[in-house]
Amino acid sequence: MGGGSAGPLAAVITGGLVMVILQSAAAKNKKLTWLKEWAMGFAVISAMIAGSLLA
Amino acid sequence: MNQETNTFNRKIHFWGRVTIAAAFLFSLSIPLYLTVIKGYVPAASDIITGLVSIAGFVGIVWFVEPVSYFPILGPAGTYMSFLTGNIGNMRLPVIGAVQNALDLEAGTKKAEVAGIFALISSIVVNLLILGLVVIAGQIIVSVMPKSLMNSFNYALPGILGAMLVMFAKKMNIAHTISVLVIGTLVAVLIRFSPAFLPATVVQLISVGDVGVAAIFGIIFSIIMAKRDGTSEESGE
Repeated sequence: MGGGSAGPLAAVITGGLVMVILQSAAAKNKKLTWLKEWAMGFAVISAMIAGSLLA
Repeated sequence: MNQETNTFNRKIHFWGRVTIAAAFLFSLSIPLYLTVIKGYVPAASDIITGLVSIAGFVGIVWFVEPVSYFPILGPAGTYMSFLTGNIGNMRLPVIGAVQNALDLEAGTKKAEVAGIFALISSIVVNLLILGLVVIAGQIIVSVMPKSLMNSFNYALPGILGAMLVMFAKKMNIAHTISVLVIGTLVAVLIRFSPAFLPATVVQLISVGDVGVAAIFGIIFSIIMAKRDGTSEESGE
């Protein structure tokens, strides 16, 4: 998993951050409630991108 | 507990045991066929040596995982998850995401039912994709760019980060920090253990890393539960 690079850590932090941002957006805006269901998917995709970029 | 819940739980345990027993028999069918029908009987010492070597590495997980996952999975989820596998990286995130999206408290009946549907969906999708990969795996792998393939290595850390946020939302800040500190210490222990521990212990820790982390998690939960109980009593 990246062999000691910053990739996995970047993925964990990005996954968590994207989750927080999307969930708070979904909680504040009624039009964005669908984001609650999709937050995990977006978080994982963002984490994959961040992990690959920083690997 | 009302009559309907009793019947629901009885059916879960009945079908859970039947399916687990069936899986157990199917798993043993090829060794039994080779032994009973083909006559290839392995020596008892070989079987015992194999069992001891496997139990030495992952035996602890057999007990720790069901105990640590049960509060989130519930009875039905436990049967389904242990039958299909991939609990930590697939089943738990799915249940967590569904309970979070529906604002349900883990351990309640509503959360358990939502979790069952989430698990069924996860298992069906998992099997469909697995079937596709088994049939066309080589073609898919050859068509996909290498960078995309490598990026899948970061899916699990991403899931764990998102899950940490989901569960941290339901805990107070002190507990969240404690969990992060314990997690970091366990990761450091697993990663840097070769420097100060015997090789056999290092191997045991590396293979049973989930079990090691779960043991710390369970100890932390017990301490917190006792403390919460004491503060509630003193507050009365």
